[in-house]
Amino acid sequence: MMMKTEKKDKSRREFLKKVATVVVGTAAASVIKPFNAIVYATAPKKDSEHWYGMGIDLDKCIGCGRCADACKQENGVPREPFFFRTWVEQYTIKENGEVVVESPNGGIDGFKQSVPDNEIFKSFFVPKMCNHCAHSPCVQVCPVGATYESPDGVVLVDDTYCIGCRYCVQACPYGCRYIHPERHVVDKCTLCYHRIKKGLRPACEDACPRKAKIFGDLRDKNSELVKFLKEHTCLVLRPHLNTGAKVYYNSLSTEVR
Amino acid sequence: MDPLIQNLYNVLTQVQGYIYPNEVELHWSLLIVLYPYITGLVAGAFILASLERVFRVKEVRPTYELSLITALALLLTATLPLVSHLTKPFRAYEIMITPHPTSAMAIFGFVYLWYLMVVLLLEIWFDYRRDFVIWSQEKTGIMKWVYKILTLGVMDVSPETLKWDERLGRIVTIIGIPSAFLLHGYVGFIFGSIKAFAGGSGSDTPLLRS
Amino acid sequence: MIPPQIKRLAIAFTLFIGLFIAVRYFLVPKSFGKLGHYRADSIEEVAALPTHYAGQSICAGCHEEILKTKLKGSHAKIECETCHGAALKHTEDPMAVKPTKPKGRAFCGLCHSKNAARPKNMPQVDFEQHNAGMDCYLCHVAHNPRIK
Repeated sequence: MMMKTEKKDKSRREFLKKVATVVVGTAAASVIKPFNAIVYATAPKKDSEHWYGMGIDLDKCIGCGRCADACKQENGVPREPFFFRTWVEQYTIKENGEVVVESPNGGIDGFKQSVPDNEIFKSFFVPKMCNHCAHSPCVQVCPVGATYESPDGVVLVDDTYCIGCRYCVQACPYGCRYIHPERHVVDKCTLCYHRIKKGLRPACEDACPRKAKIFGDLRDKNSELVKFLKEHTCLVLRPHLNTGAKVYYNSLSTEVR
Repeated sequence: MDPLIQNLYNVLTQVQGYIYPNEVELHWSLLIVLYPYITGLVAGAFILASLERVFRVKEVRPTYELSLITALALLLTATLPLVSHLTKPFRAYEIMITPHPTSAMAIFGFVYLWYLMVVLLLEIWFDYRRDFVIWSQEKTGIMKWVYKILTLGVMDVSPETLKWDERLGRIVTIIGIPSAFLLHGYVGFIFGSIKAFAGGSGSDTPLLRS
Repeated sequence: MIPPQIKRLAIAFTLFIGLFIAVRYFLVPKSFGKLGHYRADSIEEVAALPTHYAGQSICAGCHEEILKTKLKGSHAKIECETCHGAALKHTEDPMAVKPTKPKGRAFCGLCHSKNAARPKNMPQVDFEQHNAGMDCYLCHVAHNPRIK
């Protein structure tokens, strides 16, 4: 009888010990190694020469919409306000906590302040574009392999292979894809792949009058982008989705979706 | 002006609040919704047939053949709205030759093929094999050859082989019941595996849809 | 004993799968799967697309005077094509293709109209108050906008 209770006690102690280990271990793991969305995507998956990304300094953006306009001219994006590879949003956080977001024609025709000054707590512009995710939800869902992450970290579309199922359009959490109304395939920002491969910079960055966009190679530790990341407190959009976004925003407010 | 773009301008006037500009266009509309509707009918018809076959519900005996043929007819048409929804429908074959293993939609091609080839066609073949043999001997002209091809050259209608037909048909039906759920529930998985759509990303979505 | 219909179905399915593999062999593009689940040649195709923006250094070849004026003023850091639009075609055929010359108040307002969202160090004017109805270029030269 004595033996039995002792054994029972022992097994209970063992059990409690195990539970404690698991609980403390999980808690410790979550404290010790917090998820860092910035570093998460900076390391290239493959042994490639380049790993491109983009930095956007919201402190500099004046919301002129020249990036969206230049993008349309450079990449043959239809002029209608439903097709954008990049666009600008104006966020206005009111004193009462309400968040107003606007993007008339993607910001190409300029912004008109819609909320009077005395009701504004804070207002700012956010240029949006493809985040060239290192773990793209859009690439993941393409049924035929018509969209892919190139070895240098740019998400591209194979025009001749896309079947136009729009699964990727649905899957992109950033709303960066659209079906081209003339070519009838999906279209998206290529980070001006045809320019960066010729040694030029993306059209939106070139056109930005305040140089708020910083294109660069994350592999090159001396690149402007890496410098920008080191000198500023950068965040990515929707880090909880684990997309490995490579468009880094300085001064990003949590209100931005 | 392009009717699509004209329509989008109309939609834009009805948008309340803010959505991303690219998302004014509703991408998965009626044609996509038609698909789960049709597969719902397919699965329903198949379950009706299996009620008789597996669960021996005698009341639905008269509907057995009808429901099987209905299931086949609807299954063959189920892909039509999907294919016509593609902006490049003639490239649809790519989904079968280079299926992307991480895409729910690519694997759908095989789920569909499984259900069509292994479940429905087989079951109907086992059910009608005897008739095919008889018709291929009775009919004349083209139909004679059609039925001959449909027999796949098996002209044996001895009682023992027919017994095998019955037994095999039953096995296929038993496999078919979960497959019918799979085919219909898989639509839920296609929607649910979208990262951007939090409402569909529950682990129970395929079940709810089926 | 294997019933005859099973034997025949096995042959039929083998034929079907064999046919599928054969068709697949001919239909899959050559470079597919070389680098990942996509057509590797597509990378070069995207990289080979034509550009439309020339860049300031090419503009400087002909319009050196204007560039000098611009570099002296507060618009120094702005590329020519930010306002004039894509101009590579103009560099190829300068007489036939002319880049845009934006003038009206609305264009200047894209950057300079008063808006709470613009950074505080950005020169902004209230377009309803500031010399309403007058074109900006009557007082400000776009290439060096400060009034002297």
